[in-house]
Amino acid sequence: MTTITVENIKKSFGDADILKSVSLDIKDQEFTVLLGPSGCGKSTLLRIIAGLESQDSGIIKIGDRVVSHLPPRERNVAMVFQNYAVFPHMTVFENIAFGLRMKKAPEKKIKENVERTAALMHIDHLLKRYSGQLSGGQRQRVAVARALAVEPDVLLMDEPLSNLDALLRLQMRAELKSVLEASKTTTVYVTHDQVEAMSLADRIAVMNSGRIDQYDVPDEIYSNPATEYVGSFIGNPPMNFISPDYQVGTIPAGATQLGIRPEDFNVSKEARDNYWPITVLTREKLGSHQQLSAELNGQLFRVNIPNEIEIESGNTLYLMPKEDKKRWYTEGGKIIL
Amino acid sequence: MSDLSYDEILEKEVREANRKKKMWRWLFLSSVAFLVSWILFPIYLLAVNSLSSADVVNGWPKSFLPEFDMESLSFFMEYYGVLNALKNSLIAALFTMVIAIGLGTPAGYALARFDFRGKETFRMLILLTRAFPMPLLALPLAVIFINVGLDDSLFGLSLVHTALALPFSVLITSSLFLGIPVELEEAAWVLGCNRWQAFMKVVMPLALPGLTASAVFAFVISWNEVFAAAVLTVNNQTLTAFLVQSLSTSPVEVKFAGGLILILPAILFLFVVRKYLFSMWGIANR
Repeated sequence: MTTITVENIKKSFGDADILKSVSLDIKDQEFTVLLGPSGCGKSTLLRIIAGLESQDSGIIKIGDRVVSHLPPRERNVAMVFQNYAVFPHMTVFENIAFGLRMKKAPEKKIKENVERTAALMHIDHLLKRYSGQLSGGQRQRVAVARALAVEPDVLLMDEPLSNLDALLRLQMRAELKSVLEASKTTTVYVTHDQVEAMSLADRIAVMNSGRIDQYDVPDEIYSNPATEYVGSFIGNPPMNFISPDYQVGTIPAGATQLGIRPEDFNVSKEARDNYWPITVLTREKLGSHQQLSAELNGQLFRVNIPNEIEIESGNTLYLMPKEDKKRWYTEGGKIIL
Repeated sequence: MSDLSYDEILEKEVREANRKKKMWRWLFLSSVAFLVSWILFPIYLLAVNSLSSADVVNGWPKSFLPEFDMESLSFFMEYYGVLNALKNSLIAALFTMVIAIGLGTPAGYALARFDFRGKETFRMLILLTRAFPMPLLALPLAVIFINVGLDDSLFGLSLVHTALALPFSVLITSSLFLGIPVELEEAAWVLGCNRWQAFMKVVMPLALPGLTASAVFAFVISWNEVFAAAVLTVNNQTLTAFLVQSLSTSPVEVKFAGGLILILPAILFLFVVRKYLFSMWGIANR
């Protein structure tokens, strides 16, 4: 049973509050992604869990063990770094074996674990090489194998795929998912890439300047963004936020913004009751659908429509948000449930 | 110009560019040749004259070819006190090397890895130690050394030489450690190392070539140093101090021999570690 409990972690560097009382309950064997733009504190939180950075206040528990005062080596975690951090003066074998050697594991177990994890990451033919003789993708595999070989309670990954080129990233992402699912290790994964987060995570913690705005399964994050921030960070293009003046029907008390995803409109080329007449500014054909930038009384928003609808920029199109997809937000940007 | 076609103008410009390129190349090569001969020619003359007999050295016209006469060299080596001075030089240089690396490595590591109050001041102070010329310091130092009882000792001399070499070893090792990604250390910590183990198992092997080079640099600084050596040692003279004092009255061919013996170890040492020096100074080495 390896849960991770983060309780009221605060951290500031000088005047900058990097983490403003962050709490997180990660379940056993869960894959949690910390998602946010650079500077939101996601890497700092990961490094505090690893013990590479110390918190100003708050508690970290791994399982039932309070680890917040322990150095990294006593936390039984493993970490994969963005720049791989494969030791250049050791062979791939020695790299993967490093953690086990430090734990004084018997030679037989070292050999077993190294061979098993190397096979898992498809680098068993590279064991005698040095990191200088490996490609970026292969180094990444070594780093993951090295982390898995120590059989850690918790696996921490800091933007592990961001140094790979796009195609390789896709491939590694799929592979990581299956490897980590099989290893059943509780994992915390940091990224700024929402697609990566959506595809890998059991639960995503969306971070916004030192706070966690929402911690939930990917579907919920997408369809019920807890804050305006989450809605505009997740989704490409992001959620539209529209003032409710144009709205017919009931508006919940306190609502100042209507949040609606670009694909959640009923679309018509002819004027209809309660439909908004919008002016199309640009149209982009994206293959599976087309994306419009449109305007209504100075309010800019984006709409995804099926390919069948023929429309030119400058034309008028009639839209109505789908009733069950409307989300309402307060002045402060919080969702009204 | 107007009657030139576009192609002709283009051709002219290409020719012009080629000419410029050639000129720069020529300038570059001749500068390199000049700088190299600036260093090598005196060394060559030194070698030729040390390997020639006294008559040839003092006669006219001068020969630019050595006759491989070992007389001056062997005379010099048998000269009373030379071997002892050579030994002293070696000991002082080795002391200096060990102390400079022993103190410089931790300081360099601290500069590279930690943010502490007064870091920039510290960096400046290190450089400032080189602001006071040896002649200015030598006499007060001699007085202090006599009071403390360090006078005429090789250890005392190496302390002075360490002071000269330390700024280099601190700054060189700090840039060395800066070049080793901190994530490598962090990875080692997470995988079960404490700070010391991570340093020894990961940082040290990667820094070793550079550390060797910086050690040799300290060695050479001590080996070459004359002034402090001449002032601070009397019976335990190093080779440089010995040469300054006894060669001024020697015949010229023996001076040449002494000069050659003096520079030879430094040249050999630098030659052996030149690869590391290059990598230390960031010069591509392929």
